[in-house]
Amino acid sequence: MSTPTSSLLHRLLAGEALSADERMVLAAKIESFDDETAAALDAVDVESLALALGGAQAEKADEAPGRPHPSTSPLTGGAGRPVSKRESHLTVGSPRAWGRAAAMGLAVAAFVALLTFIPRSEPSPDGAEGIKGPPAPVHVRLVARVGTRQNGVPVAGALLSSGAMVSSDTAVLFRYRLTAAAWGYLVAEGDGAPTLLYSTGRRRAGEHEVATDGQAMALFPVELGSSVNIVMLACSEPIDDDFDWALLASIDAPALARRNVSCARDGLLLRTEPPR
Amino acid sequence: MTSTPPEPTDSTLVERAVAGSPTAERMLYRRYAPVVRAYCRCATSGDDSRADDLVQETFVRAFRALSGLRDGARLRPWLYSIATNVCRDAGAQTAKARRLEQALALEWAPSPEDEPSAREQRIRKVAELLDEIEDPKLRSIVRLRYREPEHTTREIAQKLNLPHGTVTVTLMRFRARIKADLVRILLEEAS
Repeated sequence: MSTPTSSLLHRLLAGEALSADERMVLAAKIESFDDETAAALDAVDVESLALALGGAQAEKADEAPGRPHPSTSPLTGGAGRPVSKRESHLTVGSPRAWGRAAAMGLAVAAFVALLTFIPRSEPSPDGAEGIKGPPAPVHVRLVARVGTRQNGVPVAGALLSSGAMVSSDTAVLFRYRLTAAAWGYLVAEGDGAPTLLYSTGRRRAGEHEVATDGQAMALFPVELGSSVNIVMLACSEPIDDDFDWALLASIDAPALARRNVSCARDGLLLRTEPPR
Repeated sequence: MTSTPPEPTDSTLVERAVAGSPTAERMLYRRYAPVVRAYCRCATSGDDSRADDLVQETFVRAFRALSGLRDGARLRPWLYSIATNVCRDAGAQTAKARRLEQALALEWAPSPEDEPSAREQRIRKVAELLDEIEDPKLRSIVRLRYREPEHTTREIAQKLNLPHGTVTVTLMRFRARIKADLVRILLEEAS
């Protein structure tokens, strides 16, 4: 039976942002450590706790001094606090919209639709073409948030930590941060082979949105499977067009190493509820 | 109505990976990388690039040694013991990660098929927890439950002449205390 405490715990572990009041209630319950609270805590799966702690900590690190400063309207805000995003940049379509795309002959709605709309080598809209010099070691951080509309206003909603469960109609928006200039590749692996969703030309260090023509791209993970691994690669050199993306999930990425391409990576796993 | 085929078990994937299947390796990685990464992030105080290096090192070591794993079903505790060792060897240790390791150690009953590294890890973590306990009754119950040879709650009740319900509730509250510490951290970080 779900109790108020177990419900709050479940939401907290699912990466949902609790209100200040809810956090206070939960903290007070934990301090009281009554039988109901102890039972609810004992029922918590440690791996879920680990995932939440890892994710929450990553979010803290995003906000720590010394991290690359967001270069555009950020998706970063207080934990889980919806942050308004430039309205014109939010393209949160409906699953039906992707369905229409599928009906137009695209095999799998979500990522094929993205590939249709995003050129593989997108010109750098932030003027990165002129970057010169030897490649610096790069680290990349991928940030995913729920894309929602509140009172008709598009907002980037709750941060999604790795392992988060998203509903079948949830659209996910992505940003990535680079510590040095790099070529970016967003790859997803769901029920099928890993697939390139998005690529960019060389981008400067800083925070970038997964977007094309000023439009943030929304991904519906449910279209890719019940469990979708999303990986952002930041590479010192561009990857050849004939690269077999299906090799990417291999941990030591030997295929990349053989091509003398050094890529940093960051990823997260999204789990999806089956469509109703 | 369509039904999805069941996910292969760890044992099946380990067997296939040992036989050289990159798909099986990929599936194992996909299954466990998120939680290993989360642990490494805790151990590195949120240093993502360092955590990613440690995740990579964990899986490189694991895949190299996979053929020596006696029971694929015990992959999970074995993998976590590797991650813990990798982080410790790299000097990545935080109080939060240590608490997490302790909580994880209580999740699995020891098995004769456990790899020595996983077994030693669990023994060490249980010893750490026992060191924290002052109450002699609680200490006895925890020692009997989690130190080898593992006792059932009924055996503990019999041995200590306690009602069975007292033993189960005591253990439940003990585990809950450890998780409460971690939830407190989570709440602090979320605020």
